[in-house]
Amino acid sequence: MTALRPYQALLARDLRLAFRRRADLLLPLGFAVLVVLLFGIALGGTPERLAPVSAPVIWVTVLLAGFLSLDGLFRPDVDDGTLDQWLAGPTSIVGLMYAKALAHWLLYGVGLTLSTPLLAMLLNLPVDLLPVMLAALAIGTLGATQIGIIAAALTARLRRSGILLALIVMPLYLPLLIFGSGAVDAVRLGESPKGALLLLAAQTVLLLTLAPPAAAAALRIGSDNPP
Amino acid sequence: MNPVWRWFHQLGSPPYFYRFATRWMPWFGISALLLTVIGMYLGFVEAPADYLQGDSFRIMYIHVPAAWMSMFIYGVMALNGAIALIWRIKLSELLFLSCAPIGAMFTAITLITGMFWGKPTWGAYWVWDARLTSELVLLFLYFGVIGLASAYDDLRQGARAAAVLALVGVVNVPIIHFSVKWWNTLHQGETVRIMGKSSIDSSMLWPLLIMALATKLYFVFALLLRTRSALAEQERGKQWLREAMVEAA
Amino acid sequence: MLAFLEAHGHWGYIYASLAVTVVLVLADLLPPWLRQRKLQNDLRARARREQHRSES
Repeated sequence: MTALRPYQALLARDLRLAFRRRADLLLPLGFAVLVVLLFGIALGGTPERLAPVSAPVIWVTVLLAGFLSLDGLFRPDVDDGTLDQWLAGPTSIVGLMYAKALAHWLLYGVGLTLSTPLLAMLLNLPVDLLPVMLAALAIGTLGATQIGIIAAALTARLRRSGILLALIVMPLYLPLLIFGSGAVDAVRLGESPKGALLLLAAQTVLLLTLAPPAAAAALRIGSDNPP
Repeated sequence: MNPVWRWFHQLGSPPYFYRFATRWMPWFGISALLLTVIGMYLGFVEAPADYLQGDSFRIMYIHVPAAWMSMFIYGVMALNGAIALIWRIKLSELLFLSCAPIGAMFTAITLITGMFWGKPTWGAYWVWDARLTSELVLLFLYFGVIGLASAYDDLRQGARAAAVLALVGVVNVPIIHFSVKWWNTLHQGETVRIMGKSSIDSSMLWPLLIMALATKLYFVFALLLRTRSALAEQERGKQWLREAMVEAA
Repeated sequence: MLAFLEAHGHWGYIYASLAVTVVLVLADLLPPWLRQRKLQNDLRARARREQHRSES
């Protein structure tokens, strides 16, 4: 188990830091509720109009809310020199990326998924769609986190990255969104969501194998220690 | 050493590439222009109007070659990005950076001509057709590469970061295409075919093939032009560049 | 503008497509060409100045 210690330490540190700033942790949820509020108002608030669009709106809202946390993913590590220490040190950067991604998913992916029932209530999502919605979101946010760490790593050393980060991340989110909201749609139309969920999971597995190495390569770019 | 390999290694050296580009660029440019004129004449004047779509099908002679190029250039770009990342060849970084705007231009042409073709054919400028939607996503992948590369102060760092993104994109392009197609059949049934049956009359096919070749040649021309000027900027203080530029006068 | 297009039938769309293509191609080619020319002029002017200096 000693081989895993540096990664566990990073995971524990990220989680501890996040819980120390609990208010920040609630920001994505607040953002999600605000977006849902805007949609609810714009759509007129009647259940007949809300119900058919509620699942796609929740998907987009969750992806946007998770996206907001990406900018801060590596920024503290770049600013206080931790990143350069990693790059100079013996620990595998790819392993550290896995720890980083896991921490991010536990904080934001799981957090947002767990808050979905609240969003679903606000948007009159039919109750029978909730289980598949939760399953799809849990898988999809794990994939979205992987895309996120690539983009965050690519922009880690840039002074400003907001809109650029969106430009990188959004097109790559598209397949996740398609299969994720496709699964919910399948249940709404009385079909089995299995196909869409499996394709969503396959994609997340692919991202899990490819994204951390890509993020590690991206982090090495701006450093003084080329591979 | 095998002469082809030796030529390849030589091409990696900036002075050699600069001279190579200066010598060959006009030929690519002129042949692209000639073929475009021929292809346009055959396609827009000689070819008969389509019995289903009327004259509007002629937009195909711009739209389809541009669509082919938008994907082909992404591949060339990613290949150069991979070479730049693995072997750290400076010239590959420049070639990589030069591919992106050209590819973005072809993607934009594909989208805009697709919209002009869609209006008389489908009755709307934009339909959420699988191919058009994939092209739109491709445009944003190009924008991401261009934006990321230019966000770095250091040209070489920017090129390498953008190369990582381009490679991530290469893995994703097929997934995006497949997912959009899946989504399309789910929501709208079978896609409306813009091309009709694949059996296309030869008087309509020839102009298309000529235009496809013309766009390829144009790409090489534009790539050499862009890379050469980027190379000149990067090496502006060097003696060989002064010699090459002053002697060309 | 779109109404104008639609009033001209199929050839309206064809000309619009051609026009957009020409504009985009020019936007693709002109910037690198101008950059190259500017650099070339700079270098040639400097070479000429240096020649003058060495002659005088």
